Amino acid sequence: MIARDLVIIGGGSAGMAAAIAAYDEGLTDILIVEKGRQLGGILNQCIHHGFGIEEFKEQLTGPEFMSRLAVEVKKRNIDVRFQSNVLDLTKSKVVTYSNAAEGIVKVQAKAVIMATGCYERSAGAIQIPGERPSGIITAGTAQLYLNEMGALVGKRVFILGSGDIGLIMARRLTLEGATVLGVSEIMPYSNGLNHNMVQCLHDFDIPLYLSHTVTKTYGKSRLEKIEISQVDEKFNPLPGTEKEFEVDTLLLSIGLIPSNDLLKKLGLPVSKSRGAIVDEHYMTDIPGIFSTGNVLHVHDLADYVAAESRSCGKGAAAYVQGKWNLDSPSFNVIPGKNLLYVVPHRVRLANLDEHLTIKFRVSKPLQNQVLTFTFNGEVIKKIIKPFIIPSEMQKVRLPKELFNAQDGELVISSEDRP
Amino acid sequence: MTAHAMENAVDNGVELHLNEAVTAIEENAADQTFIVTTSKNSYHCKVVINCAGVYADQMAAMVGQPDFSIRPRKGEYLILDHYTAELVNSTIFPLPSEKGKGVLVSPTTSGNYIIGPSSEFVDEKDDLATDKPTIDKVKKSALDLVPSIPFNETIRAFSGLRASSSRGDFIVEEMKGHEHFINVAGIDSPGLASSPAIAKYVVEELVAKHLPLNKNPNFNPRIKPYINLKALSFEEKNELIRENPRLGQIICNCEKISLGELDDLMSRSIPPRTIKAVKKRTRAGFGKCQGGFCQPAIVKYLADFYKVDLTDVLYDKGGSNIIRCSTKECKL
Repeated sequence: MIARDLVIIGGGSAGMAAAIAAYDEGLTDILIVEKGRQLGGILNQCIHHGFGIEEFKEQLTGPEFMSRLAVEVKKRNIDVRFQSNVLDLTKSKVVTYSNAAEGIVKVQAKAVIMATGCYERSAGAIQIPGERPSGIITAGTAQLYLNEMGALVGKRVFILGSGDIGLIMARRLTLEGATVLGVSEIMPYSNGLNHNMVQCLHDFDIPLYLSHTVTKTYGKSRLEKIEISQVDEKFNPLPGTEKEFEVDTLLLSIGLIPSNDLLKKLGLPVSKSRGAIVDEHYMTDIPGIFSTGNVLHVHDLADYVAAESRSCGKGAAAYVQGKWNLDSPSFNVIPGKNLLYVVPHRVRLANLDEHLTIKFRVSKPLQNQVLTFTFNGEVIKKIIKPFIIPSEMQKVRLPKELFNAQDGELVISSEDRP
Repeated sequence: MTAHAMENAVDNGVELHLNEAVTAIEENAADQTFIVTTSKNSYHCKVVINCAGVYADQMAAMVGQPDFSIRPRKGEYLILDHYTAELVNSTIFPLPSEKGKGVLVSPTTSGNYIIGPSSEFVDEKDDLATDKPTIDKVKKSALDLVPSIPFNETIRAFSGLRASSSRGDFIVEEMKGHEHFINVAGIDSPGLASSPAIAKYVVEELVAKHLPLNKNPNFNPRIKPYINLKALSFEEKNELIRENPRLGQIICNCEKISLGELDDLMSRSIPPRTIKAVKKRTRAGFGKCQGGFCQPAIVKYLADFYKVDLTDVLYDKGGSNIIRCSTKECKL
């Protein structure tokens, strides 16, 4: 069996950033296994700008952002296998992948980084009632057809879900000459980043129907009509509130789900972000198996993915180089009041250089909040937040000195400001 | 199973004409032959076997006065993603009622769970819509059998129509007064399991009365075996891939279907022409992302194979084109 120090599953933003960081820490025997024809993952189809402000202090498109990273990967001569799919991962870090040139290959790795990104939630997952003609398609797939194949999937479009992908596609489809009749969002608040709401909906006069969902789809071979209804606080449709739209396309932007099958097969616990439970360097409960990027938790910006994955790459290198004591004490990080999830979930203080970066999302939009960090019963930090919404991931850096012990519990909560 | 049977039939000389609806059937009283007119052609024949499912009564009515009617009975189903923890390890049935088998909870041969079906009569013969109250009832019935079901792992809800006859039973007989018109109607549950026996009876007892039947010495009962990569060992898989590298190139990441398996399907006597056909016969597009990642590649594959534009590739029936137009040519 072939042996490699580090195998990275996925060559998108996360995989590339992790590879570069691990290499620069001295771990140079790396193999990236990528299912596509090129590096970059989903960035290749994100031709809109909005990337790179954090990483490169420039406004870049997705392909430009990914090129910056891909160039660094190539400079270091890091091995990549393209059009290769990982079939299996074992607890002992044997990665099995398949491609045309090599067939099925087993690789014994010292460390593995899962950087497999997400897939889009489908119509079936929420059981949209009605007929199942063509024309019901997820926003990301429509984006791939349009931006990589020059193919327009529809001319009269309605969008379900106010997540960023749907908003971006609302604008994109309008620019290509389609008519977008509206966006419906089941929550009473929108799910996308504020600047996307403005630049994609308001600027194009596309109406947003909050607290609405699609209650029926009509069409024998191609979609012809949809019906939306208002919902109550339990998300049940309210009779009498139906509105119909004659469309040929229903675009779904109803959520990204981490592609975590390989880790789930290993019986690894999964957090509320639907990603793995990880420590301060994004290592899972299995020593040497790491998870980073959208497969760990859905990020708002590829820039944040790159930053996180650099930490992960450094962590994987340190692990292989034996720099850590895995037995050193750790404390748990718990999402408290109003928090949906936190990353990481466990921290070995001894492994950190100077500070701990915690990322989290709140579970609903809140105003006048105090983010409260309570360590072993004592409040160690407070941050005042006038507004805080689920669709914007929060990132907080806590200096090591704030912690007076290595074990116990850090609880993060969002409290009403007194 | 159905596709394999048809492939075997076509391999042995049967002509399959798809996308061709029967519009009229005229019987010649003198010699009891028929002229069957379709949307594309007309055929002169001695025997007609009517297996038109929910439309069997309409087909029979083209010839005479059928003494039965077919009411479509809809069944809605849920499919759960591949299981990582075992929910049940065999098909769990409730006690049957007059409505049928009832809602089952069952593992599938593909490693998913299937839950359903419901059972309710509908008026339209093409009403395939799912609806929330029925899906909720299916979930509730399933929970009566298995107390905890991870419905958040659902990846698809779909429905089908059973052909229920007014007689409450299978109708496998010559039509009264039109003995060369054989009705095989109302074959609802347990129709699939009964179909080989029904076919044998129809041919040997009914068709044989009207046509001289001589066993075909060249009949080949086997289709070319389908490659089942998952059943092979690591070494066996690699040997096949060395001979055919496209077997190592995965096109559907959720279900791990290779290009080589799709090539093999296209090389047979009834290659799929639509996305839905590829989905049903390879499982590409049946996984958790429901074709989100692989559909564009399969659309391109079909366009290249049939030498048509991307815009011509259909999801299923005519008019179900996936792409409306290419961006450089849109006229709106």
